[in-house]
Amino acid sequence: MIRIFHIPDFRSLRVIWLLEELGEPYEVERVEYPLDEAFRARGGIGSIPGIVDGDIVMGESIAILQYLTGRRLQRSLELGLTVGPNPDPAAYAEHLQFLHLGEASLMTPAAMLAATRRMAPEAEWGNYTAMRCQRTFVNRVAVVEKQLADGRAHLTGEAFTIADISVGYALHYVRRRELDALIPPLASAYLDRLSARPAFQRALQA
Amino acid sequence: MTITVFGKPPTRALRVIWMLEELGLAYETRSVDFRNARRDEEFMAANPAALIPAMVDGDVTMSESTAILEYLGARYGPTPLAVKPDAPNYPKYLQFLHFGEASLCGPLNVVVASRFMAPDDQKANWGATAAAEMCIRRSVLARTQLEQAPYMAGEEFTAADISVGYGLHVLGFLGLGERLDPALRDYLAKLQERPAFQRASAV
Repeated sequence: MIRIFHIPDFRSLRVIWLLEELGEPYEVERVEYPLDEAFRARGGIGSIPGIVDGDIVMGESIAILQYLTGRRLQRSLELGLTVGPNPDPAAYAEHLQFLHLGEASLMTPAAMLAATRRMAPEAEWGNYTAMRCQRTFVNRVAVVEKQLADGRAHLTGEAFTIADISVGYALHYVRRRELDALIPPLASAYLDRLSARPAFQRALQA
Repeated sequence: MTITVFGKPPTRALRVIWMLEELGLAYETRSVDFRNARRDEEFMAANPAALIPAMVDGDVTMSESTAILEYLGARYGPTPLAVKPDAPNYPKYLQFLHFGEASLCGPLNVVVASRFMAPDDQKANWGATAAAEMCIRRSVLARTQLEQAPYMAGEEFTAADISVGYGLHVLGFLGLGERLDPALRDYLAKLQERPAFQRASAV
């Protein structure tokens, strides 16, 4: 059974959400933040999330989504949860774009902004770096807003995919940290739709 | 049709150009003045969000550098640079492909911006300092991998090395190279000696 190292609301939520969408059994091992030496000494993972699946040990939430859907759980392909390079390279490119954007372009600035508010003295909350992160997030989430402008249900069309898990988690993270005002209206409604999914609701309880 | 890359080294366009050089594909580059990007009509037409780098390949436009590495490997492969899903080292490959950006390079954005653009009293503020330390701390995972194999995904050079190598290259560019473990510095030097890297960084 796939074992996941988890902290509630951390990026491990992405992995659990996917496994809930697939109805795949899994085992959660809760860890505490900040990560202690025992966790770091496990090797091969780095930070949360990590999984152990037989002799495979890996980290990085988006990499885990790709491993699970692209190889480990073949029914992901039948369910359309991932998009391959064939037959349509343009659809594949769009899928990859949003899959990566959810972490690299949205979570990177959001996490730094949230960390400043959580850990820095209050006088630093509006400092140059924090405001720069906020501008970057706003600029990048505008790409999501534009993508949703034609009324589509999900980022790459009608089908729900791991790109929605990637971006949806980043939006959820921002909303949970009381930065909801940074999310534009279509993206906000999209997050409402994703949050209502039974698999997401179950994942929140893990 | 020739692939067009908007942006040049030392931005993340270097990852894309390095990959194109490793693959031996024809491409052209367009520099973008990022302070005035929104007034650059050709760039904005290709990429309305004004993100750098951007790549245009026929009807495909992308702007996330590590996503572009995956796309190029699949579209113009098969190539040893892109590990296949059924290969034993696929999980490692994926992990380090993402690690290079999500864990290593991402936090450096604010370090670069604060160092080069912030007012003097903000150049080493809380966030800029914390981000650089986070990046150094996280580089240990790549160091651990080098105890197992010469490259991130195992015995062979892959796009995961382009992803991680670029992150280490930026740390060096920021003058933080000496904070890296010697094994990582040697690994970076080995990557920088590759002819494709040299051609890409000279663009």
